[in-house]
Amino acid sequence: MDDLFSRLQAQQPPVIDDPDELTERIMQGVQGLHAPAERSEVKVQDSRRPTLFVALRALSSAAAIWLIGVFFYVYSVPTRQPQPTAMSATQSWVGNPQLLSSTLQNVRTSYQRSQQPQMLSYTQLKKQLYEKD
Amino acid sequence: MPSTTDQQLISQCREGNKDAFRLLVQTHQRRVFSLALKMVGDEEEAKDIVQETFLRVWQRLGDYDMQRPFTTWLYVIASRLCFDRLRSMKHITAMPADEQVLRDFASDSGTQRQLENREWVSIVRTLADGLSPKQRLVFTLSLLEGLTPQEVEQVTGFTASQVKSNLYVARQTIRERLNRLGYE
Repeated sequence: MDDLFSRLQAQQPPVIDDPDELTERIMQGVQGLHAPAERSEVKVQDSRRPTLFVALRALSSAAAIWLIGVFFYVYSVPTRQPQPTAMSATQSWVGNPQLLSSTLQNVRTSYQRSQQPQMLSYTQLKKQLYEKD
Repeated sequence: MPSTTDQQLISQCREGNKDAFRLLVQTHQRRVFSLALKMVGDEEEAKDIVQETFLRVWQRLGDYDMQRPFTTWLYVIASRLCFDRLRSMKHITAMPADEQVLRDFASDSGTQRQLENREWVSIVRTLADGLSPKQRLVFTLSLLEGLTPQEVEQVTGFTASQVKSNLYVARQTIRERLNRLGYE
């Protein structure tokens, strides 16, 4: 394969069948264009446009940086932790005397309710009587 | 460093001297045509690329760095045009007649026969069949035009590793293709 490529490289480059005709075509194309020197003058006249682009680009970059900064600031402010809605048994008793007393009060109230004679309706009494029988 | 003649001609072109530009075209148009023909595989397309290349050269002579070789800059413009043209073209598959031209050339190692344009087209079409535009560009510049890897990097704008990998894949593809055609 390398031999094939070295033989191809040793070949003369392909020949243009009519080089003068191609040169003329190129020169005719050039006729309608500005000379390079003239073009550089046009460049100077248009130099304001790149300045405007640079300014716009700087402005948009600054805006993007500001937005990113705002984003990080918003997310870096510590948010309030949600209050637990239900506490475990140990959490509810330890170090919270107010909660402890209120819980003891609940126990007592519940106990007293269980000790009180129940007020039963007539139908309930009648039902209990028949069930005993 | 560019040759003195090129530098002088370019300086004159920058002053709007079209005769100097004509001389520059006459000196380098064959080189550009060679690259274009090997890349796109069509004479008329290749001529169009030569024309477009020199029009761009004329328009951008103000941007040319006089410290760099003119031929490298010319190759940069021409290869980009070839690359764009190649991407927009339909894939052309090598025909049995193209393969026969390659067979004849490979078996005819004793003589120093010069290839005609249509033979160049057939050989390149057979060798480069199945290559991507990037691989084809690197293959053409380094293996057919004989540019060094550094020159290929400068012309294509690819990194050294990109040049190396594209060339490796191109060589592997061509090797497989030649094996299928019965060559070692």
